[in-house]
Amino acid sequence: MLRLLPRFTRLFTVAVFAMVSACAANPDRGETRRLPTDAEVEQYNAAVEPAERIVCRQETPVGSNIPKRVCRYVRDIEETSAFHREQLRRALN
Amino acid sequence: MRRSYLKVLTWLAVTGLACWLSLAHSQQPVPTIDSRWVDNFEQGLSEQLFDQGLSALRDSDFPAAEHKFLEALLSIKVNHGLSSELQFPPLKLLIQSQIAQAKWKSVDQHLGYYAWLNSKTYSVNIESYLNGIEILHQLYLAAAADVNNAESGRYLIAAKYLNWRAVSAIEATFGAASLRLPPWLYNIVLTHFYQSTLTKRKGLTSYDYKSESPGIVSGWTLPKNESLQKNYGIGLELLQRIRALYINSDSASAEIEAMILVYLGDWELLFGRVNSALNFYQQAFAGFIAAGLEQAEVNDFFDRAVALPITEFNVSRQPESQRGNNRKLTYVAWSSTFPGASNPLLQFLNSTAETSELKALATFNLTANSQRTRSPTTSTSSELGRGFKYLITNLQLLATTPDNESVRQQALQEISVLQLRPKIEDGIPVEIRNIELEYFSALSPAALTGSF
Repeated sequence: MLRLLPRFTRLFTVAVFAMVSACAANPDRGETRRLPTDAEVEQYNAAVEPAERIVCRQETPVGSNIPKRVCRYVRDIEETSAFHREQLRRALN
Repeated sequence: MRRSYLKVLTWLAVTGLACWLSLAHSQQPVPTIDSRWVDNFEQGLSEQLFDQGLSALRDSDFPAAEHKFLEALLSIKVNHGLSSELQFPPLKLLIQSQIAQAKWKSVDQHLGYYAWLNSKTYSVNIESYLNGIEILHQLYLAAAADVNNAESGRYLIAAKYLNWRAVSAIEATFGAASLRLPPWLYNIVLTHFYQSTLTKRKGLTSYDYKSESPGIVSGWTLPKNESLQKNYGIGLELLQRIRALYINSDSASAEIEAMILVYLGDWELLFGRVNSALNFYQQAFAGFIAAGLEQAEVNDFFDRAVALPITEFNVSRQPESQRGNNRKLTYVAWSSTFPGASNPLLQFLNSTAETSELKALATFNLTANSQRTRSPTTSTSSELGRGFKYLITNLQLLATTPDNESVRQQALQEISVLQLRPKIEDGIPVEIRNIELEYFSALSPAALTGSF
């Protein structure tokens, strides 16, 4: 049991470090940066044109099992999709 | 010279004949209003047309009503200008008559026109603007609830976005701490519940359920669970914001906070988080006691089953004396598009439950699916375990109108999905037996537009 304690302490330290670094600090302004909440995104989306809207969702990045909240502009999603469709079309032809 | 005389004489003759013909035509009997050209410059014409349209609506003659309201709008534009606010009443009824006919293209066009007209009032009169948004919100909900509407989700989202615009307008005008915000925020909370009922019906949520505009955006769809989680999360966030608004306001009181905790508990219960709901109810119970209420008074407040979600946000507790002695629960279902949601539009539509096509009288028990609810000997809440679920049990139909097997089956199915707040006694949920329910099924599409 005692042998496991240093390992647990190390794991705990890493976990705390990961949690703290998740709230990325902005050194210039001394503020913590955070993504907008879903309600804030909705309020923003209600005020802008459809192409300017933001979509936030949980995504699991390649090489990880931990889902991450990612926010993107609808126009960026559209452009990326169009680009991928075009690439696929070229590859198939 | 003679030729030019002849030309002049011929021209005079032709002109004279034309004048005589037009005079003769004008002396013919006046045709009815339907067939002659409408003189849009006639003062009072718009009122006449409005009354005729209203009369047609009362007779459920929706095409005639639509025609009259369109003419009334034209007359108002001619006499009072394109941006006249006098257009609002006929425009609202015009849209209602079009919803009743399921003319979605025209509905879209006129809803857009209403929004454009209403946006002009924003800088002039914020109250008028907010009132316009409220009406538009109800119209969008009426369109969303129509079972014949294939794009009900789109109208629902448009209604939600309207409320967000009202929130932004209030924040810009009265500040982000304004107590005018809660009713609008609560409307958004309700919309998220309606959205969740749509989501539950399908494996995947489509784009239609997340945007009010046509056109597909790749990657916009969410899995059912993520979508439900989002609806729950936004609702919770907004209810917490409402709570914070009251706590930080001059009118903060322990009783108001306790009332909001009840709403929070209701929200948890709607999404199946029973333990969390019970926590909020217990906090509310303690809050009412802290506010100076007698335990008996608080027990009275929680002594009956309440159908959820409550469609109107109200932070003042209705005293027992005003709640009446009638223990019968009355429930008016909204639309089969949104199962388990009571009609939020009864007041707006000027409708009564009597217009429902299906009525049922039923009794049931509201019980927990676990033995660990408080038994008569248990006096603490610590015995409440995980996984509680409140269920309608022993459901019995006493009568239905019309009385036939298919109606009975429909009534049983619809009543079984209702969600009810449990009875809380001394902060502990207890079973209620033999709840009498007067159930009115979803209104017909025509009745959804209201009575006039």
